[in-house]
Amino acid sequence: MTRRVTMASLLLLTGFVLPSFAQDQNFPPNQNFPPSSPAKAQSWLQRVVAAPRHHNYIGIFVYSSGSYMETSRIVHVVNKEGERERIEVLDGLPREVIRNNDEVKCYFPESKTVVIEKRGLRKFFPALLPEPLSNLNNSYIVKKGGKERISDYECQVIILESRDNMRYSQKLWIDVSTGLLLKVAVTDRDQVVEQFVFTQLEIDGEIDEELLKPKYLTKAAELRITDLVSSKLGRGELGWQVENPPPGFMKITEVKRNLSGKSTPVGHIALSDGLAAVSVFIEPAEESDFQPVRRSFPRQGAINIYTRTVGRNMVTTIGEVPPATVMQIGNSVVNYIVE
Amino acid sequence: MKNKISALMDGELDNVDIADTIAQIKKTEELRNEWATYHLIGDTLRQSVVVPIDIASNVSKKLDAEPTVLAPRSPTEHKSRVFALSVAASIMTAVAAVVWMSMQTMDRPLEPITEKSVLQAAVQTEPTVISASILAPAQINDYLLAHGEFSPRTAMHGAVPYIRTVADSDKRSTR
Repeated sequence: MTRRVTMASLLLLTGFVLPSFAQDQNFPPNQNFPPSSPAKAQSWLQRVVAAPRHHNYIGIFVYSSGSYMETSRIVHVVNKEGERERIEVLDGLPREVIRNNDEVKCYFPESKTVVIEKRGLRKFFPALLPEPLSNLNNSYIVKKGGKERISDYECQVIILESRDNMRYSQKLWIDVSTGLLLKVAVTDRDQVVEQFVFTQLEIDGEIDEELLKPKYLTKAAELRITDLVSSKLGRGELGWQVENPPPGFMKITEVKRNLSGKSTPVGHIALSDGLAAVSVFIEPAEESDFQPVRRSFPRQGAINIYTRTVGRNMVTTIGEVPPATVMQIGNSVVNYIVE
Repeated sequence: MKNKISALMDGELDNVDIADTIAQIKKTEELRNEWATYHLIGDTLRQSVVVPIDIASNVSKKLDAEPTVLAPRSPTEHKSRVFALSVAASIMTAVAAVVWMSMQTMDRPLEPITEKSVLQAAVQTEPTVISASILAPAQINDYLLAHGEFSPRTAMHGAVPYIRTVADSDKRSTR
């Protein structure tokens, strides 16, 4: 009970608008948006969020970023066991992502490694999580575009145009009849930063559940497992905060979580503007020859990474936002407990 | 079924379900693997130093290999001590194997981001590099995955955005 009280006051204190994510839990009946209705662009987005919980599909998609391009096969099944998904990368090193409802396992068969990320928080504290797409209007102009054909499906184009240069714009192609997202382009002004697009897709056909099984399953004893488990913290418990986030970005939550090879859990503050998310990770430096550092890492698609030291701590900021935004957030991280 | 296994471990099943689930686990090898995986996860969470392997079956294999003494023995004490020692030895072997295994895996780098690619690209993009790689590649990968939990993109696109994280960085760095 005390926990609930704490959570409630946390919500009030952060001024976070309480989203109704609880519907996520119950697999709500499909809300029918007649394709022809003059539904607002925003309701198309809500449809996108709901669609994967109502449709099976199997297909091939291409992910590209700059001149890098990679093809993957996806199988997505929804039934009484919930929502399950398997993605197999078909180019380069074999890799596989298996999703079973709120649990995502990434297999790296070459090194016999599996990384597990389980959304415990989403399961137990649904109301605390960001409503995707809430407060969007503060940061983006949401526009309804025309109709375009992707993989032989008629799609509605929705444009989320950034109101400033602190975030990327996005263009979404949404299947008119199911609401599934068939193409996404993340753009920085006129430049495409990254793109996902289905090149072949079958929706709501029969899918053999065998196709959901990991291909590279090895004996458990041979695997190296990292579980990124997290535990929720009360306000201020972490002792760190982002003092000056760019406009539109609000703190979603702060947690402590396990990382591979770390003896102590790492602090994690998550912020979002409703579409893009930024994470700040804080950990005490372990090296004895510790020296101050400030650097950016190469972009991973739309994701930028920036690291700096604060006292004897490493602060790493990661987000699908422009480099200047991760730097601004990273530079405004402060420790408000006297060291 | 996997949910049941997880619930069984957490002690959340009723008696009928427990019996059912255990029977299923006994029957299928895949479920036994799953069961072992969940335990491995549990141990990882509890930060145990030693990763368990299948000690039970190793010990029983050694026991099977032990000669069965049928004849009555006069110096019984001696025999049984040898037996006890050999069981102890097999357990020791198992434990040694475990320790060796966990040491093996401890320093293995996690892909896909290679040290080389991180350094290379860091030099390209950021002139203010002061120190050599202070963030291990494995760490960046973990960060990226952990970040996924709160990304609204994940709500819209399921596991698809994770593809970014597992992208083959060897190729990427040569682009």
